[in-house]
Amino acid sequence: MSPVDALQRALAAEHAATYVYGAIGAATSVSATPGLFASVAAAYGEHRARRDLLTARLRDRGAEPVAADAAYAVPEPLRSPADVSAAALAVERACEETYAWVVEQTSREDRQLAVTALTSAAVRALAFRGSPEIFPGIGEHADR
Amino acid sequence: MPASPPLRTSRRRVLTASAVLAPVVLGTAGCDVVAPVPEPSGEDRSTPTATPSDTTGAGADADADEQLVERVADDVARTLALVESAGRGRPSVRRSLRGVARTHRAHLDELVDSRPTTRRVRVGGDDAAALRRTRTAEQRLQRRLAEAAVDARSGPLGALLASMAAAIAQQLATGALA
Repeated sequence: MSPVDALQRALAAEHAATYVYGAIGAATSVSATPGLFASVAAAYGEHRARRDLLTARLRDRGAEPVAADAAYAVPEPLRSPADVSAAALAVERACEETYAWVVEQTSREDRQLAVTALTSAAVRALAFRGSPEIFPGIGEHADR
Repeated sequence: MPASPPLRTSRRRVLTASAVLAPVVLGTAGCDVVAPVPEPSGEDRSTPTATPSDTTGAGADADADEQLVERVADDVARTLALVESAGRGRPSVRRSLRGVARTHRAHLDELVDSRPTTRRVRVGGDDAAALRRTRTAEQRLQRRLAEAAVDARSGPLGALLASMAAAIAQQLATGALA
């Protein structure tokens, strides 16, 4: 697994996260749940920015960034604020795991990117009823 | 890129390069949104090392990581000592800091076999001052953990330290230290 391959997997995850957050946002009411809507909108923006950063990083390395799929499976149902929070939390937890893995597979500036992204996902998870973890992104230590 | 070397240390199991993480890719190929992809193959399990490893060899990497772990453990232990002191005689502060203290203890337990000795810390002032001082120390520790994650020669150690940095960021974001 080369660092470029690891970045490609991170980009694939960000494509999916961006898509899923789009669906989550569409299911969130700005008037009924303004706080949740703001959190979803902020998360969407942050995932888009990370996606663009990864795309640029891969191009800098001479790699062709992996394209987004036409569609992704979206958690269902998304009828209530609790559904929305659960779906968003699942996205962030998956991103934590992805970036912990990318940290392991990379070094220097690529690892720096992944460290920052792991921290961002962990903090965003708190906005969606996530509780603080002892080892975010590392499931094998999570039961400690 | 070479696999990271096992460390010549009696430290915790996490430093033996066994902590290989499975990647998770969101929502690929119509899978559930958080379905993990299969664990990587044997080739995928190789972990990169930071800079000079290619020229100085596995022993140097192991030594560097061992020193890094000692430094990080000292940092965590010092911060924990401050957290414990801040809560001494301040019940509401102690309650607020329970989560972060538990996090530090778990992190130390993962890094070293016994808690490093630290100088006794005295935190003066009222509750707000104690929380402010603790918050500043946690912010500093969070930055140092993130830097250490990048500096680690082995991938698994880097991932552990990055996870610890993220955990402290979560504690800071909860508002318990505000």
